[in-house]
Amino acid sequence: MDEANRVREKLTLVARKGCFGLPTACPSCLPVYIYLRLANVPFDIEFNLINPQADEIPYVESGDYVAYNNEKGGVIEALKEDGMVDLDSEISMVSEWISTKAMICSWLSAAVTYELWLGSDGSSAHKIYYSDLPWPVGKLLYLKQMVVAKQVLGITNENAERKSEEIYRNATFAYKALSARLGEQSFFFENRPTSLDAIFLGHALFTLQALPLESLVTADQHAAVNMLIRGEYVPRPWPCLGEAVGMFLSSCRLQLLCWICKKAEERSNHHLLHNELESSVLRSKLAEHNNLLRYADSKAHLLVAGSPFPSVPSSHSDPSSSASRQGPSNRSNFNDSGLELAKDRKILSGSKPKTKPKREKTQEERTFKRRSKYFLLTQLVGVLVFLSLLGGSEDTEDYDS
Amino acid sequence: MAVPEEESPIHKPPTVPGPEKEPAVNGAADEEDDDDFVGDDEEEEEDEEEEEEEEEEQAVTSTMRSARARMEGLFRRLSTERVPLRVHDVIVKGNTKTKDSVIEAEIEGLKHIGTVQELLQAATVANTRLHGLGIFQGVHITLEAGPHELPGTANVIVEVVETKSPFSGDFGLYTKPGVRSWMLEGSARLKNLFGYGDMWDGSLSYSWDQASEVSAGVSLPRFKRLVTPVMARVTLLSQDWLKFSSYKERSLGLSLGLLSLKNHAVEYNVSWRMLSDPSQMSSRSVRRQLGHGLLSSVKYIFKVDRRNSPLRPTQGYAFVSTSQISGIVPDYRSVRFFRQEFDLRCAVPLGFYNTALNFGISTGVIFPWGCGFLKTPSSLPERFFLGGNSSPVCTLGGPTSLWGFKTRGLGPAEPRREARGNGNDENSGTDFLGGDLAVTAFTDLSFDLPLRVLREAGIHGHTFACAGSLTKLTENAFRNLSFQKFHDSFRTSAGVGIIVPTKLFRMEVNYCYILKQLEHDRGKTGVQFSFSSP
Repeated sequence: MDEANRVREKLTLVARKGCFGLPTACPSCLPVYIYLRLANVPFDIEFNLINPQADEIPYVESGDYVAYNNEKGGVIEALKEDGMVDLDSEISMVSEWISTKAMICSWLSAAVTYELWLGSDGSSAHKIYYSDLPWPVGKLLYLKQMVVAKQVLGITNENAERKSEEIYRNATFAYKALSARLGEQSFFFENRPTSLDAIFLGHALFTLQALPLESLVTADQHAAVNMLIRGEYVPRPWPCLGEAVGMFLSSCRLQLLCWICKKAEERSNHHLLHNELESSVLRSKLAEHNNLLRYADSKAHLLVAGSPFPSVPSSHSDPSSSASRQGPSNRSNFNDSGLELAKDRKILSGSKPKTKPKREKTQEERTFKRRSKYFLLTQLVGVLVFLSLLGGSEDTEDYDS
Repeated sequence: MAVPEEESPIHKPPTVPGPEKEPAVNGAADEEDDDDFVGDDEEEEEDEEEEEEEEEEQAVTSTMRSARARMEGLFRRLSTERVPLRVHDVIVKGNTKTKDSVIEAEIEGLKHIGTVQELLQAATVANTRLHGLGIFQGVHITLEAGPHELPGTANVIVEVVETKSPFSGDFGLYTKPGVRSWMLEGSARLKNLFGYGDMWDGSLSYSWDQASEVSAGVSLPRFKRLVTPVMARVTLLSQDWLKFSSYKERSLGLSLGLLSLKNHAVEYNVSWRMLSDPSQMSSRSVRRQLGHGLLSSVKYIFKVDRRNSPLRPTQGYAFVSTSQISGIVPDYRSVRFFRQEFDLRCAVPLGFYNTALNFGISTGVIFPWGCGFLKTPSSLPERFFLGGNSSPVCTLGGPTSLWGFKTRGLGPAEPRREARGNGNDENSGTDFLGGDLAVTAFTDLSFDLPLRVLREAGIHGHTFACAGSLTKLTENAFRNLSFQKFHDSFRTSAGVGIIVPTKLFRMEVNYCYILKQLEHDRGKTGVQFSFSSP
């Protein structure tokens, strides 16, 4: 009777703040969120902004009942054990299911931890965990967490490179195995959602949206590429080589940048960022498996909850939340027109349940790619011939004078 | 810091004045020549010598009489009229380590006097202030006549004896209003390390409820142009409130005493505070507050204490106002609140058996400020909590004490997390959350006991009655507060007891009867012990 009463009381998920287009950007919290969405359980979400390193977060509460993340193997396991929400009936004893889930929880979780704390500049981690803490407190906690992450992953100065390779190798194997297991199905097992789907979806969406990007193109170069695309570019002459040669080299350079942008764009099916040339290592490994990307994309609507996201202004009036503050970046990432791409980052909007247009390699794009290569190669040969001819005529003039 | 009262008298010049040493107070010196006697015969010489001796004795006696008469005349003049005098020079001696500027700053008042009476008073004050620095073993102020060419002047000689050992230690039992129980504290002090009167100290304290504090501080009597002492203290504090509110508090803070006068004090505090719940049994409101916070606050204290005794006041009054505003750093993510406390105590003697009626009232309010402050809860550790083992008669730290109720034993409460054991849901208790508005009031009638032995030991009896209320105002709760609800929220108790004052603390053995308490309150009728420290 008490369990029935507890089930009737609405659940509240207390997680870390949302950003990067995710309702909660913490890699530990997002799977729980998706799990509850997959189970079609109504729940509210509240944020804890001041306890970034607590391992009990996320937790689910209903009245006096609380399921902490550091008890009973995690929130999802606690909810199953306590009879609150269970999607794994009759499959939790399947060995392949268990091993697949363990692989996600170990190899992929370690890869995310590595990239979030050690393999990047830390901007994502800072934004997710420490942006709502006063600067000195957040800074010190971030440095402390970096040390903890090293200890958890067993990384030292001597074995850093080897460990990094091992982590990414394991992640690669995991993605291959998951891709093979998924195939073209809607879910990993028995064509129905389980906690394994929730955990992987949380990992995939976090990897695709929240991990930091590397950009090899400066803002000026990005602007120049845009001008080239629009046919408005004005090449900058290089005086040391003569005006004609300088203009020719400038145009080659811009065309090369444009080709690189196009190539990066074709590599991923989810973004058209002109200034994005190279994604995170983990993201690039995930992006090699189109079915996994399609799977994540198809479930992106789960991020749009029936109950309003905290980023929506009406949800901030919840007086019981200790996380009433929202970073301004959260508001800018959501768009009422549905799933659209942000200016600088790939997001999955949360306001309306619209699907993203798929990007697949078409025959035309392949042809364009091949022709671009030939064009640049021809341009390069022409420059070399021109320089050699120009060098020979100048020697002749000097000799005559 | 209040200027101490006058303690030790100043030293005065020798009673036998010489032409150079005689004080210029009376403006004149009588000089008498010794008579010379010469004898012819030995008998006549002996007779003459005897006569000479008798005459010498008479001369000395008359000299002493005249000196005494002059001194009596001087004192008469001092008591009846203002004797003009100026200080020509102030000479400091004996300081090998202490900088002259430190001593001169404390004796500044000696230079600006115009009469002997003012000089004596200023010298007494200077003596007390130098002793108050705590770095001198002895202070001697001597007056001597000024130069001959400057009549009506005097020189002041300040001779100090520096402490031989700059290191000192202390150990004892104390109670503090914010701490649940007794604290065992040991401290060490290093005096005058750099010669600026600086006082360095470190202390380590531990209480029975596993609250511990490690702190180190420095006090400077003079810091640049500030006229009041400046203090800085770094504190690492750990308090365990798991049993009452399901959280533990750890804070690392720096406090600066900016102003310290007799009645006014201003201090700034910045601390990094962490609330955690290792038991993971906390209630919902406490769970929302667990985490890190930065506290940056300025506190102003105004205090007037005219009671004749802090342990057993029988006459006088005391008033304390404490105002604190937190969140003064530009970072909006720090803890922001405004806190105000008032304490008023009055003691009225009744004129028989040393009986006195004490009554007092304490109030306090805390409210957050900033964006969305109406919906934001107040900071949990900064709220008011009532109950405990301290006596409200002696405690002047805001509304904290209420006889008969256990520590944090009343006020808003919330059920803890549901505990599961053996398949049954167990009630795991309640968390006391404190309140945003606290009011306490008491009356206490103290009287001597009939036995003389008890009276001589200072043991006396008292009977008391008290009332207290703790209310939530934040998160829009103030909209639901009415006068009737506020009235109904008061808890009351009464009782009798015996008070035993000792050198270290004041102990009360009371029988308390709970007249009114609400649900979840932890009031208990029966014998209770209460401890206070002055």
